[in-house]
Amino acid sequence: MSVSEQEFVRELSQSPPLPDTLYPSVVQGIQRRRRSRTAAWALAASVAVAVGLGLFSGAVPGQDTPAAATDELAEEMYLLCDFVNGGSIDEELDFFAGGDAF
Amino acid sequence: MQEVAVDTLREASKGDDSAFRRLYEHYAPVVWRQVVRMAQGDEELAAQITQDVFVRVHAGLRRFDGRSAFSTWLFRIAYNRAMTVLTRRQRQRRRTVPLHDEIPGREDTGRLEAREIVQRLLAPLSPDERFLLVAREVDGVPFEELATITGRKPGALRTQLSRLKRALREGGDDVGE
Repeated sequence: MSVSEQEFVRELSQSPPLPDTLYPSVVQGIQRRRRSRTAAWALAASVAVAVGLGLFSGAVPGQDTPAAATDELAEEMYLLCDFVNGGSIDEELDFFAGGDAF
Repeated sequence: MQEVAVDTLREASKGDDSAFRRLYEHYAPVVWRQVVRMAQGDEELAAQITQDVFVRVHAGLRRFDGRSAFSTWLFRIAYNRAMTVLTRRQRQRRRTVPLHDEIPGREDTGRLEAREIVQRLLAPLSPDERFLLVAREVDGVPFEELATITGRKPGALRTQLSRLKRALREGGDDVGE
């Protein structure tokens, strides 16, 4: 058995029916794209604002922003270490247990 | 192909959901048929590609400038998307599937039905060749439009199609013996 050209083209034109679920998934895809675009804009805007604020605050005379930020960050790190190691909690317990609160 | 009304296009590009739905209903069956053929009948993959195509069409509607027919613009998006996905997939399959699994066998051909013969003939073709066959032979897309869609010259497409049909005729005779 072989196929004629007409049969071939007829077979070629056959395809499974368009799935009913396709349009709802297109709509979902559109909504997902909108959401990710909004998120991307929000991220870009927040980065721009942060950079802008950094530049602006860096321009204030007599204020050494990077050095101040480093000190602040170091202090935050110490506090975090204390909290993780439980140091600050021990100090607070000692304070209340040894104090004349009552 | 008969185009959708200009008003529908205009409204859809302004964000009218019902106009976009009309546009989808008008063009989706043709896009679906081409993509299913290009994907060798893999409906799940074809559905992913078709979904992606219409999401991109929705996003790019405002950029459609009317220099070509809307169907040409849409089919170009569909062709490019399908080619990107299918080429990547084909590359992955080549790395994992032995080559002889992809070549259609020639045993037990005595009782093959026309559909099976057609599928066997189409199996070794590239997605690009399958697109050309369906777009030209089934949908009757003119060569000039096909050139715009594929980014190739009409003459080159004519030559490719005629070679393809000759090879299929010879292959059909072999398979059908």
